[in-house]
Amino acid sequence: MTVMLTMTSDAAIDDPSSGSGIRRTVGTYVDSVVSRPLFWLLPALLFITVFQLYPVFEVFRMSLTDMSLITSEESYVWLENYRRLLGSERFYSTLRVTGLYSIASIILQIGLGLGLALAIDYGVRRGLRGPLFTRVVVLSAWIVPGIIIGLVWKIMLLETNVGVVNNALGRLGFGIVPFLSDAQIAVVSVITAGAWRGTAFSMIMFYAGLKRVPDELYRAAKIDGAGPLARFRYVTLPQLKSVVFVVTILVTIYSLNSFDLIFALTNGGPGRATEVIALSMYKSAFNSYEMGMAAATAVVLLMVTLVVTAVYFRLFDISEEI
Amino acid sequence: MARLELNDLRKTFGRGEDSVEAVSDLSLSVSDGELLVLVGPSGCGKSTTLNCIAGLDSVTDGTIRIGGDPVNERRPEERDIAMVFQNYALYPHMTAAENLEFGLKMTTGLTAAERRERVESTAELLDIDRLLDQKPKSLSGGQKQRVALGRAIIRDPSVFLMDEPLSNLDASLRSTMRTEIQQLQEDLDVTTVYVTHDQTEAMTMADRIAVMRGGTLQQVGEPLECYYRPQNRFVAEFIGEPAMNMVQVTRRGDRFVADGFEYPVPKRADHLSSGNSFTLGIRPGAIDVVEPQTGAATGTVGVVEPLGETSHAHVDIADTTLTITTDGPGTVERGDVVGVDFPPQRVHVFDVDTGVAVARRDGLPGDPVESNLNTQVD
Repeated sequence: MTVMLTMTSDAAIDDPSSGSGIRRTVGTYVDSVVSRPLFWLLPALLFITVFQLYPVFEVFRMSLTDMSLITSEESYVWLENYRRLLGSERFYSTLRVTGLYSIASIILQIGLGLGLALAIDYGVRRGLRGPLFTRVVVLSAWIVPGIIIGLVWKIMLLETNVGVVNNALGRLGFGIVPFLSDAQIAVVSVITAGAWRGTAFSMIMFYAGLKRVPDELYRAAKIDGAGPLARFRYVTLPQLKSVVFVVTILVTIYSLNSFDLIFALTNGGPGRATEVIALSMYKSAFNSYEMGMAAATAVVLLMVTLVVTAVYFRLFDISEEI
Repeated sequence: MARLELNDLRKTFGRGEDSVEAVSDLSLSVSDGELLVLVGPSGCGKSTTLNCIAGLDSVTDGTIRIGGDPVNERRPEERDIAMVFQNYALYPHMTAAENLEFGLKMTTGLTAAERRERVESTAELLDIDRLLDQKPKSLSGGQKQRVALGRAIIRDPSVFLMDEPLSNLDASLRSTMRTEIQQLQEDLDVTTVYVTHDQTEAMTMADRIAVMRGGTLQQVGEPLECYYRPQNRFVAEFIGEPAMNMVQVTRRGDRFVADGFEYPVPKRADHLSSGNSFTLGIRPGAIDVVEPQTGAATGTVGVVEPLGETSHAHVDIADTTLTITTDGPGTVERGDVVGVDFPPQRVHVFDVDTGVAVARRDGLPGDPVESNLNTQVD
């Protein structure tokens, strides 16, 4: 609206009678439009509104209804879905599994990702061969869809002699391990598969962070007498602080919302041993057809994610980096 | 404090056919408390040499001795050296005080209070005591360089290594810091190796200069020695601003002759064979403007660059151009036809092929031997 008003007033000032006058006027219009922040923000604003804000609003509205996939009628039940959700044993079980899965994912993905990134960075700085190959291999885990990774792991962990891992263990003289049917081992299997996949992401983030650390800092630290551990502690880690922050937040968000890999690998089983919040939401929607309940679960999951992220902002003092 | 010696130092990078020799058979010694400036163009091996002394790069061949002990196998912190880097290399997440303290924390058993005391006294020496709580981000270039110097000084090392410490500073700050570093080095009396590509820094700061090119040492000597008695054409051209004029001549009897140029052969060049070609080197400041047709050559003044007290005039003589430093404005104008001449003791003669100086003067201006020679020649 502001843009339009300016265009009109500019047009009134210029005399568009001559050809060059018209060109000048058009040029002025274009300049006045493109020099406004709104012009450049508009595409992103539209995109976010249509594809993100509106769905969030719609999910929130749905969570207040008894919307179902098997009937076209719906009525507002207001907080009934939330009352049922928070009162159910299942919710706390999935919350526990999600928490465990997320904490383990964060620790493993950050630890393994940083370790791999350090190894690659070391190789690159020393001019060794192999960093590119390692990077490609690790990254390939990242580009394969989670559902396929879930299936691959499922095949590997089959609880017969056909399963790759059980077959190998059998050759070493071990019995069949119930990777997916024992409640506790299944959780470990899911965490392992998730970490295997997610490590690639944190590795590439950490590697990018490490590349930013000037070589001179390491040289100065060597002259100052810092050994490899001290250099890591006093140079590398502080320089990676902002990357650690970003990776932690993103890995947390991904883990809290994990769905595809677990869906393919265990489908939440055995029992509900590996059922995370996102999976229970899916089951509410497409097994029980309770869209209202599924929407309420989604809203709670969003709240959990927001709260955890807010806690991170408090814990990490990254005001300098931002 | 200690004497630093390099014996036949060699450093190659890479293996097999791809290997590059960055430093070749470099032998140098720096006396206790001396400031030696390693100077040369980019890629001449000066920084590699410094890194080898620091222990940041391994040595391919040869020995480095500090205080008489070979240090080739020692880690940087065991060599009792400190280094100042071109980009300061301050730890960005630490305050100035923490930056100063870090080396002490890593290498000494001093308590926090003792370290703090050392930090404060060093900061006072460098006039950065007000900046101790600030992080590098909020410091100016000059302040950062002081903190970087402080980080080196605080450990009281035997040898200071400085890798182009002033090249990131603006011109006026650079000249101030140059004097300060020189003063500091004299006060602390620490053996120092200072790397730079700036010949002005080398001339003004050094006790001795080591000029390097392509990994090999060209000349080591006091700054004026290198200026007045260069061992080869490279040193002659590298040291001095503006660069030395070079004229290709042939000896014909008792004269050096070129197109539009004729000059009597100085006595010290008498041994050179007639009929051979040589390169004559004459510094712009040594050339006088004389009446046309009276000096060594006559030419037309081209571009004149006024600098205030002096000007640089470019005089075209046949197919060469000579740069001349003249007195301030008005001495010569563009288009003037002028004669040029210069005293015989200011003429350098180089072999055309090898660039080696073939008739170096015997001493510096003011030396007794040189005064005698001058009277003989003139």
